[in-house]
Amino acid sequence: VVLHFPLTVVGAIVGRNFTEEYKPPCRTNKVPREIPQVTSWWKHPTLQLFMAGFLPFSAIYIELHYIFASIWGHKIYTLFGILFIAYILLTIVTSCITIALLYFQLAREDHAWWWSSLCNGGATGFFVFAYSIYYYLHRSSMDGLLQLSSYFGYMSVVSFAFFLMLGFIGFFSAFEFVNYIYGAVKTD
Amino acid sequence: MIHGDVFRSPPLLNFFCAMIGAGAQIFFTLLLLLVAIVVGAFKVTRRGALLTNGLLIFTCCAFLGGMISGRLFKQLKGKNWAWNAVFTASIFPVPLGIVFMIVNTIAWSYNSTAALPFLTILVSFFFLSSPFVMTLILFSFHLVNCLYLGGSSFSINGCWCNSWKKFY
Repeated sequence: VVLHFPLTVVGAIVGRNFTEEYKPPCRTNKVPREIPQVTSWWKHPTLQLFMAGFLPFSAIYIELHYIFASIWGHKIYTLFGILFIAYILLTIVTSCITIALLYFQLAREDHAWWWSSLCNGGATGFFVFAYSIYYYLHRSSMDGLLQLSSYFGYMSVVSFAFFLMLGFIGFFSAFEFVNYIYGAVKTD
Repeated sequence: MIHGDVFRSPPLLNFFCAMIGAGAQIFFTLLLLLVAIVVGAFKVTRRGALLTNGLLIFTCCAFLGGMISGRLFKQLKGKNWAWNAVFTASIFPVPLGIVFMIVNTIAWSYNSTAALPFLTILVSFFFLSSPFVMTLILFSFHLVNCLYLGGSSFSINGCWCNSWKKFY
């Protein structure tokens, strides 16, 4: 904590000073355009969120089981090479699904993509939390308020970490994608 | 065509950049940690080694997180960037601390041996961590103040400002 805070501030200063002025490929209009109503049910953002979470989650599902068993059970985790591969895989899958969903979203003229790309990327965090509930109910023999509170307290933090991390991946790939496609667009 | 609207800055820009920065920090932490394990930089089987090294890397990655957050914040033409740095630094550790407090309180009420005693928490929180953090926060802000706004609230720190200004 002691080092963490000043380092962040120093990083922010460095990031601020060594950034050239960002020139987006297109000018921004003065007045925000109206976002059209969602027409069909399969284009709904909630469903897209579900889809965005489900695919990366299925990529790490097996690993998650072992990790849970080693953290909350009595197993010892040794498969770090496989975990590393799973991590890379998770990154790739998340960025791909975010870009795909971003494309659909832009195609239906919804331009509020910043937060939605973050949430689409981070949706796996909700799945991790849901899995932790499942693990608690069916795979472990924990009971009592003490274990319940510590388990769900720490699992919510871990899920939040997942959300932030994958949100970053999702946003970063979405940002690159938007820059790329709108760099190719010829305007005025 | 919506090209006129795609690059409009998002609402709640400050929180957005903070979340991105914190996410980047966690991402690089896990990446470096896994690389270190795979390369064999430390023994995983030793008790607490994973956590210690993870914490170390997490702290070092704070720099990266802050950098990415500050960079994005500037690119999106954010104002009041010092708050952005504060949010970036606190958006993950603060919930973690709150959860730890709650869990520890419950464990304490159950008289569990795993719980840190209430007094220890109190002492370590108020007498160790807070003054350090507060001092460093003040120092960072003061540095920022000197560098960018040209003002200094304490006369004794004037010498720092001058040296830093020369440096820049």
